[in-house]
Amino acid sequence: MSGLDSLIHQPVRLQIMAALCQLGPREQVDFSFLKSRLALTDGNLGAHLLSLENAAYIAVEKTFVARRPKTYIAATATGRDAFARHVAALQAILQPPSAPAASA
Amino acid sequence: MCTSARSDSRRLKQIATNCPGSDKPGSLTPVRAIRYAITIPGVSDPGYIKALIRRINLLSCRYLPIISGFNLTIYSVLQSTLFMQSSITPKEAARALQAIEVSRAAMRSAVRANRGHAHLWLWGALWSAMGLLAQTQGVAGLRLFPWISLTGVIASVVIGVRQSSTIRLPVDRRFIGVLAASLLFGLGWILVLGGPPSPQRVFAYIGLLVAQAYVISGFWFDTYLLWLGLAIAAAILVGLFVFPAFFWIWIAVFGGGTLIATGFYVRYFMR
Repeated sequence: MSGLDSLIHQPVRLQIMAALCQLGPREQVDFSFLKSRLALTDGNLGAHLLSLENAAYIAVEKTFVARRPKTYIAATATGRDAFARHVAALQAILQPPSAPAASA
Repeated sequence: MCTSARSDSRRLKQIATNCPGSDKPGSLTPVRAIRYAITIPGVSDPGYIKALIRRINLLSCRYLPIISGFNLTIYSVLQSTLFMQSSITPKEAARALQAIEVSRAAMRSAVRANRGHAHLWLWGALWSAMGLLAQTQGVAGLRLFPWISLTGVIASVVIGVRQSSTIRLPVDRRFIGVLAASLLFGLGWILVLGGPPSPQRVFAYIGLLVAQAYVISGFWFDTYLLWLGLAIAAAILVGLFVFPAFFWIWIAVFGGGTLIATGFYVRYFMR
């Protein structure tokens, strides 16, 4: 069976990807808002976002709004695909096997 | 797929020791490791091979200088990716899916709270107010229209800035330019050419310009804006040509009402 992604499966990253994939294709979420929604600290969220960004699963945009630094995050198409495959694989684990495995 | 930790470990050791190049420092590349790994029985699913290659390629870009002999990075990636399937129990999968649903639900409510409903409610209320003022106060009510519109524009900007502090939709500046140009030129024509002969027709003209902006935005963003633009245009035209005697009250009910009702749809029912 394919689709499970160890990078996404980590509980915090799983929550992050689930939240980001709920947004529209071009929508971005503010770092502080995501942090409060997921009840994480700055450092914790930042570290997990870096892992996801390195895998090209998310895109991070740093900008200034009213002279204040703002960070916006969005899931990429690659990230959305990987997340969808991961969810499908998790669902497949829950379903009883319909046929014996072909390989040893 | 292997099912026990021992066979996972044996398989990894097999990759580590038997992969061509593992005996010569520097000659074991991620590609070779993968090519070898996929020859092992039970490791031939194209989907996960693709995922694995992507992951290892990413890592190899970062750690290429330290690849020599059997690389620990490759080892850990192989361990986490190749054999992950066997390590997740149905209970863990159910827990993960539950966590996903909780996270989705939280974000869904946030997304709904940040949609365009606030703008629609605001402008729906203002259109209703303008319609009722014109109907009840006559010319005195019409004189308030520019101030009411200005208040609406300022309030819309404030709402937009507040919403962008949570979830935002980056908009192409050229698109904003197209929209602004079409609105400003449309308004400019009234000033240059003299404009329609009655306040009802002036309001209908400006309302149709706004409806046009909604339709254009509908092509660019959400389809509901397109339908909203068409509905408003239809309401204005019916009011103007079918019920001219009740035009203002018609606008208050069907113009403002359409905007407010769409706001409720967007806030509570959309997606």
